[in-house]
Amino acid sequence: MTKPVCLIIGAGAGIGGNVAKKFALEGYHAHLCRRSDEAGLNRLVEQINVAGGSATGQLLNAIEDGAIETLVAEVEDNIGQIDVVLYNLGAQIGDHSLADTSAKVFERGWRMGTFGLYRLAFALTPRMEARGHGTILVTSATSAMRGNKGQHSHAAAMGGRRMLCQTLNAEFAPKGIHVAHIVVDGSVDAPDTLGKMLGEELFQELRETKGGAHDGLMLPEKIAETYFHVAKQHRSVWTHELDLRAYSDTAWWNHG
Amino acid sequence: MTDIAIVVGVSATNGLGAAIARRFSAAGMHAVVAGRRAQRLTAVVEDIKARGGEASLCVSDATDASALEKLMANANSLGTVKAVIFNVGNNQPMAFEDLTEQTFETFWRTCTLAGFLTAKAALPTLLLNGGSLLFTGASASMRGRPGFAHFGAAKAGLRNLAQALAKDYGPKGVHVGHVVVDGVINGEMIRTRFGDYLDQLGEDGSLEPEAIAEAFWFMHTQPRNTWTFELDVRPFKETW
Repeated sequence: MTKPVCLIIGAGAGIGGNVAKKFALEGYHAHLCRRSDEAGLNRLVEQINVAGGSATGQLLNAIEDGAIETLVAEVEDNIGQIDVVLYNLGAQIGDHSLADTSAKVFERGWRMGTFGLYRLAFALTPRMEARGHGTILVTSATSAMRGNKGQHSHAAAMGGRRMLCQTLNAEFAPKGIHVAHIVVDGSVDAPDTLGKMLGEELFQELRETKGGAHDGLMLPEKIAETYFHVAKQHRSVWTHELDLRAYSDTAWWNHG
Repeated sequence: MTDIAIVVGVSATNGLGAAIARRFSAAGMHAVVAGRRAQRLTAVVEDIKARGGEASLCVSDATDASALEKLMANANSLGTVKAVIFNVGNNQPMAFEDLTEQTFETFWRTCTLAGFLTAKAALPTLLLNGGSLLFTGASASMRGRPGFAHFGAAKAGLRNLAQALAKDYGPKGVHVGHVVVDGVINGEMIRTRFGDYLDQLGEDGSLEPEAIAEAFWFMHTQPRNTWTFELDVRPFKETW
């Protein structure tokens, strides 16, 4: 395959799926990975292909030993050179008191939030470094910036993710690898994440009162525009970190 | 009515202010360039016109509230002001022992007070029209370093002003943003003062004004359900 590959780890119908679509329509081959819902995955891949883009997909349990390493090797061998990777695994489990946060839950959050990114970088950066270029986009959250009440697992995982992004940038930016940490500071109109967390009824209610033309929910297809912009920046002007929120929302540093 | 973009803090044609004006005018907006030196502003306007864009100039000192009122009145008479970019800045490292009270205050006037005055003058119009108020930040907005006490104190003040404005005016439809330019700009100010250093940085080791201007333009075009308040830009080989 001659098209550069945009690999998406965490491709639901929200940010992941829309970033895949955006890059595919801009000339990349998108390879979408998600843990479950094969039918949903196939729908996303199909939508991209119908729209004239090129895409494939697979189910992937990213926190399984060796899963990410195997994925990187297989995509490079069988599909093509990974020019852009999006690490889009979420680790949000809602608010829980400390007593309600088991060691198992805490560790799982870390595996998805922090450790998986380390493993991805470990597997992929030697290849990108050898080529002298590559882009690692990392979706992040309010919790990377501030430890809100009830967010023990998520905040520790995302805070670790943010610092890892900074250290990766420090080592690999001079080698031509653009690492960007994108702070999604608010609610995204994403059925597979927010939708599942809230339940169908509450999610639809939120969509009607805040979403759509109200512009109070971030639209994933608009978020994807920003990801693409960052990935295409000239190397004399790379953004490492930016925040995104809806105009009417309160920024993390202004929370209560 | 034509959409207007005002860039406050424009000087050399190859500087950041001029590059931002060029970028916004290339997208069809009329650029109003404001700065202290008429000759330089004229060159920027001529350059934009030669590229087929629309531009005009307004000689103004951004530390003077009445000058900014005139700038806004002038721009409002030309069309619908949709973007105001505050790019005023002056950087010169100085050992703390050599830093006088007067210099400290001068930097605050240029970097912080002028930003406040620009926001004061621009926000009534932007509230009416909707649009963006974007500020140029620097490494010193985020961290203090020896030799930059005056500049750091002033730029950090500007950043916090921008944060306060974003919280206040975002829900009212004004996109307030802050672009942290975390490195050396390959523009005339640096070329004149630290040319050797620029050469030392080598290819793509300093920020190209045109490329920075893309970041401003991009933020301006974001839809309101997905606004960035702050982004940083630096050359790939910058250590930080």
